[in-house]
Amino acid sequence: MFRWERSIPLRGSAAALCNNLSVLQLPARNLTYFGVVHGPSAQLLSAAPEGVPLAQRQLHAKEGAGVSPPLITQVHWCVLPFRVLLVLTSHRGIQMYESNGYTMVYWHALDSGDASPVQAVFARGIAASGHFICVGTWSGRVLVFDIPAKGPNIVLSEELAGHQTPITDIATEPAQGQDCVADMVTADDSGLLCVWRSGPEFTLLTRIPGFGVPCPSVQLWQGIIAAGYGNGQVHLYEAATGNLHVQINAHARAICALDLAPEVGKLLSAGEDTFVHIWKLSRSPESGYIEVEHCHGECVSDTQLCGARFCDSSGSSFAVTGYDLAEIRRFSSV
Amino acid sequence: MQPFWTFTGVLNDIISTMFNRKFMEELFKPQELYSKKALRTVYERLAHASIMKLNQASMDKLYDLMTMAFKYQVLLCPRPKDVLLVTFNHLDTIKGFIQDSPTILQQVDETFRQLTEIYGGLSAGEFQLIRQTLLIFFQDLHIRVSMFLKDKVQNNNGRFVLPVSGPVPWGTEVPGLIRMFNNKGEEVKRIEFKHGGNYVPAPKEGSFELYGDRVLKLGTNMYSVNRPVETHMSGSSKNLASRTQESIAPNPLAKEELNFLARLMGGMEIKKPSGPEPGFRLNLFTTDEEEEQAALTRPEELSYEVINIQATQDQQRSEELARIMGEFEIMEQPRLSTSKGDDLLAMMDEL
Repeated sequence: MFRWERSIPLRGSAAALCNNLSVLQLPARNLTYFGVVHGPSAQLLSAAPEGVPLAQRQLHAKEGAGVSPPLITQVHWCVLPFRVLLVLTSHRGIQMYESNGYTMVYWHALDSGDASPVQAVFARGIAASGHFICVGTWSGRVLVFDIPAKGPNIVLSEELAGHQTPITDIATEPAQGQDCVADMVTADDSGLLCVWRSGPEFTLLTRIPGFGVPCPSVQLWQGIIAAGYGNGQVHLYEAATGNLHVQINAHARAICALDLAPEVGKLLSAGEDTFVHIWKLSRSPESGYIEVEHCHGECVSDTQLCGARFCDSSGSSFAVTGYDLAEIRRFSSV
Repeated sequence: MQPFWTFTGVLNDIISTMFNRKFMEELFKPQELYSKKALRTVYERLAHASIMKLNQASMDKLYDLMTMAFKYQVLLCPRPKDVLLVTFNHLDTIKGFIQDSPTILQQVDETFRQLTEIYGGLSAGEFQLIRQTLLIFFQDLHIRVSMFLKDKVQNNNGRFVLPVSGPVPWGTEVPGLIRMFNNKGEEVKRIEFKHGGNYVPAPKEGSFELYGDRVLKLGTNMYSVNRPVETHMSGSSKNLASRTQESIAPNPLAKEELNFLARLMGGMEIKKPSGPEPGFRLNLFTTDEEEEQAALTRPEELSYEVINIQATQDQQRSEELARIMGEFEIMEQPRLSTSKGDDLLAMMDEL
């Protein structure tokens, strides 16, 4: 059972994007950072336990040519071995900041060279993999940036080809230490998933085809890929083989966000149907096949959700954002 | 006595201006989302494309109503591709108004053909981007509309009701089922879970043909049942500070936007009436006094600014605009009342 906790007010309502909430837990400092995209600006705020808001700051996409200010597509904290960077993707390019959002350390302008006039050009999909940060683009290319332990000397080290349609989301997990283990999944607007092994060069291991709907959100946990689709389904695949093992008719509208609590294998799904669901992932002791159990469902009345995150690694609390909603709604288990 | 104007005449004038080939050509060019000011300017011009006139207060009210109705339709689309079905519903209804005018009917059908050509083949992902971008335009607008409040599709705080029952979108399954498979893809287990809603399967897919059952009711005529319509300014948006700030947008007279407006306006052909006819003024309030009062008490945050084309600094631009405006045929008519809404027209007359 979850109860609705005190909401955190936002200066600007959340935009109707997918994966529109990023949470950075800083238990040592008794703080949590939240990041939400409003449209042409993104809002960062810090909160104490109990959701008491402390400080907040707005970031904008770097200006460029065009009639209106560029729209931000996503904001996300990347936890690397020696530092945490905040990454902001927009219709112009990629901005990286120190974790509190005060110092911009890197700017990458998107190359719209091949785009036809009808095509939107943007970056979207952000994840940290070891000492790399991977960012997706409108063309399907995934840019891999090599991040030093400190300082602004960030270098674009690789461009991954594997997708033909705009990237929606990227998921990573720490390498399990064995050979040939997948530790990154990229998803796109056609629903295609690409499974990668990271390294000085990234290797494409498997491709899992789509079925006509976008895959806006993807997660990876202990070799299990959880993918949320535009038709409301959540699929669980074996990363090593690409086989589909679980199909959940989870939501009545498109799924907008997935999140994982890695300590306990809990999966959070949020949809445009106003619902949030929590699932428990596991493996059958006999067959080793992926299994799932529904734990909890919550309806956020009249709110088309656009972001959802666990607020602690044991999955006992979570937060959501919704289109047009000028607050972050928080829930914790009783 | 025969009235000198008819509703049919007014509808025909507005619809034929809206579906004018040149105007549509400009609309179909790939472009960024309009700013609120730009859209309001174009809308005001279209609303005055006949002998019907509106004062500022009535114009504001009409625009609020249009905006909230459209927001409702885009927000409640079950699938992103349904925004196209909503558009087709709009066209079907418009065609119903102009049954007796084959020329205008043809213009609308031509627009239909263009819509199908450009949007018919887009992927679900592309439609999702279109829908998300449209929703950015409507963000933070919570004006209460009497009809929506009465029908319980809008709450008292101005937010729309999102029902958790009814048919799922075409292509979506009713939530509640978990299926598990082995390595060979054979189903080995099936579990049901309680998802909290009360959904049923989708009956059938709406038609994207020129004629067909759209299935979707969004975008059909809200006034097919006769009822009064009001919009409420009070309590429209509690968190006014959160309203999208246009002040951080670049100068609205930015070159690109003026170019775009000039081309759009240039594509509108306003018809000149055959003889001297006084115009008539449409008042969306119950009395003239109420309309005046509404204009005075409209909250600052909700006032619309129409782009003042004459105020441009760019000499070349204003010459080009003057030339395009000169190509309009503006009707000579006695002014029934002066108000801000008439100022734009007055300016164009004086160019």
